[in-house]
This record gives sequence, structure tokens and C-alpha cells, in this order.
Amino acid sequence: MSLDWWTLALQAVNFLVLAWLLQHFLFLPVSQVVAARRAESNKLLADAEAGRKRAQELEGAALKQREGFAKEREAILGAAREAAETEAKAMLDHARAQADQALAEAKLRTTRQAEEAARDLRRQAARLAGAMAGRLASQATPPAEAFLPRLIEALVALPDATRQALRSGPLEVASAAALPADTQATLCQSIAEHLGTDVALRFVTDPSLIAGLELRGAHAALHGNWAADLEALTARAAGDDGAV
Amino acid sequence: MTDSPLTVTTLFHFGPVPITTPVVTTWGLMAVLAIGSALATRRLTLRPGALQTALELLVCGIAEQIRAIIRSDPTPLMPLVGTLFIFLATANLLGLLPGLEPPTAHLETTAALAGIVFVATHVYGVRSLGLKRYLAGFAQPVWIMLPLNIVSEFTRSISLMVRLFGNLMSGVFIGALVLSLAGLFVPIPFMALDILTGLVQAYIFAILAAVFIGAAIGATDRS
Repeated sequence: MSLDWWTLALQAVNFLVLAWLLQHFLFLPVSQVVAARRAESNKLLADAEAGRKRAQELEGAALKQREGFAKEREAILGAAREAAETEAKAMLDHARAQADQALAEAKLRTTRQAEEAARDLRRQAARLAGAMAGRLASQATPPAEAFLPRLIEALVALPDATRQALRSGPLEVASAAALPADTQATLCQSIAEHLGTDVALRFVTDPSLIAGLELRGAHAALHGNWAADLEALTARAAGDDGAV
Repeated sequence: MTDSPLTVTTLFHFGPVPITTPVVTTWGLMAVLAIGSALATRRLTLRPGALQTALELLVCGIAEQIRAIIRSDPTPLMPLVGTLFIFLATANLLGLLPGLEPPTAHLETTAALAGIVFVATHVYGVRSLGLKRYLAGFAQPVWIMLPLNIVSEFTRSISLMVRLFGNLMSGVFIGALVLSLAGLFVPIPFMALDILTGLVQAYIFAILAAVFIGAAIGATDRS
């Protein structure tokens, strides 16, 4: 076995030259383009990372802004709710006051209507009572002389001016039934005595008096009969004081 | 190929220098690889086509293999290990072309390559660790290992040389014998086997070179 040393040396040189050629034409250009692509990828990744951070910052800002919007909305809603509650309370108070006023007016009106109705009832009852009493009294009337003291008492109670007016004019004595002569004489005597002078009396019959007498002058009349009494009682029964 | 595989044919003389067949074949292969690389890398872009993608795959694959062995930047070893792999892969397959025989089927070529690896290993080791520390590494783990480590430096280079030469030479020789004995289509399975053998041997040679250099620079265990 022998080696061709020239061939060995040439092959070694050949390999070294080939290594230089491949380094120059293959390994270096390919490594450079791979490195360039890797740098571009890193740049893209860095840009993407920067974009992601920027997006995160924008998202954070948007979230903060949204929180601000939420707080502002809550404040506005709170103010609106408070205003609405105040307005509603005012409206409720106003409505309640109006209702109270309407209720008071209605109560007053109802009270007045009730009182008016009560008065009407009393009037009707008084009229009915007067009519019933008059009907009963007409069936059993006392004599006219029995009413003479009341008539004289009313005459005495008159003021002096009225009594003087009675003295000057003609007087008329009305009775429910015709008076007998002695009764007429008694009446003339008693009236003259209390008026202080003699007066001409004219006697008339008035069944509407029911019972009793009535002295009628030009300017005044003295009642001493049941019709006047019933009328007075009816008027009192129909009065607002409630006394019958 | 019916001549002795241990002899080389001299084609012509250049002065006192005999120019043999392996040398001429290597020149042709060098021209093809250099011109092909120059043409293929003329217009490299960031958006690669099919050819550029294949080139990047090849270069980056070799670089990743070196990085996995030496566990550092593979750039300093790329010219040596990358050229070893590409040259051996193409040279080993030359036997498939009619009228050509692989230059690696001759002992001079594999010896030259093994010698370059041997020198490069110690150059990288001294440059990485310094002369004293690098030489002291031969006495590791104990000083009695010094003769064995020195002998192993030579024997592993010789084994590198003989492994490649033996595989390629035997493949070419068997193929030639089968072709001369059995006709046209019978050698095809042997040729397919030669493709596998050639690529595997190229890979083994380049990887072992990287391992030797890695051990010399302290990246891997010397043993």
C-alpha cells in the first residue's frame, strides 16, 4: 500500500479552496439572508409587541374612561332620581293638600247639607205639629175670657209710645167665636183701665184664631190666642237653635 | 473499476506534479459546487422560493447539528464541517454517474480530509483553551492516560480516513464487479445502497469532525 503524496496534498488544497468558495458563495449569503429574515421577524415581533402594549394602554385608557362614564352616569341618574323624588314628593304633598282641602270642603258641604236637611225636617215637623195642634185645639177651645189676662199683660208690656198710638186710633177686638155682651163689657172695661182712657172697641169674629183674643190697632196688634201661639211655636221649632 | 483501488491513475503531469483522476474529478466537483452556489445565491430574498428554501434548510440544518454538538455558535465551524458534508455527500454519489468514480474511493482524498480534520481539531483546541491548558487536557482524567490519549488522537483520525475510504471503495468495487458479472439492471439495488452509504458516510464524517473539534475546545467529553 502506497500513498500518492502529490494527490494527497492537492486534495487537501482542493478541499481548503472549496471550503473558501462555499463559505463565500453559499454559507455566508444564506446565513446573512437568514439573519436578515430573523431580524425582520424580530422587528415584526417587536412592532407587534409594541402594538400590543399600545393596544393595552389604549384599552386601559378606554376602561378608565368607561369607568368615568359609569360614575358620571351614576351621578346623573342619582341627581335625576333625587330630583324626581323631590318632585314626586312635592306633587304628592300638593295632591294631599288638595285632597285634604277637597275633603274638608266636602265635609263642610255635607255638614251644611245635613244641617239644611235637618232644618227642613224640623220645619216640616213644626208645621205638621202646628197643624195637628191647631186641629186638636179647634175641637176643644176654652172661652175667650180665659185669654183676657194674657192680652192685658201684653198691653201692659207695650212701650208707652205704642200704647199712646193705640189710644189715638180705633181698636178692634177679634175672637174665634162671637163674644157675649158681658164679656165684651168686661173687655172694654179692662182695656180702658190699662190704656188710661175710654176707647171705642169694635168686636169681630175671626175663626182663624182658634181660641182667644186679638187686639188690633192702626199700627200694632196684641195677640192672646192659640193661632198666634202656634205660629210662634212653629217659628221657634223651625229655628236654627233647635229649641221647640 | 477493475484496477486496484489502492492505486490512482495519473492523467497528466503539471511540471513534476502528477495530476491524477481523483484530483481532476475533485476540480470538476468544486467547479460545479462553487458555480452552482454562486448562481443559487445570486438573488436571495426575504421571501424565499423553493431553491432558496432548500439551501436555507441545508445550511441551517448543518448549523443546528454543529450547535447541538459544540453547544455554542456554529459559525466558526461552518466552512469546515459544512464543506465536509456537502463535498462528501456529492463526491460519494459521483459513482452513480457513468464513467466517474468518487474521489473518496481513493485513500489520498480521505487521508487529506482526515489530515485537515486532525490539524483543525488541534488548531481550534489551542485557540479556544490556550496551548498549555490544551496540552494538559491530554493527561486527563489521570496522567497515566497521556500515552493513550495521544495515540487515540492519531488512531481516530486514521479510523476516520479508513472508514470513509473502505465504505466507498468497497461500494464502487462491488458495483463494478456485479456490473461486469450480471448485466445491466442487477447493479441497481447496489447503486441504491451506495446512495444510502454515501450520504450516511458523509454525515458520519462531518459529525465526527464536529465531535473531535468540540472535544478539543472543551465543549464535549474528550473520550
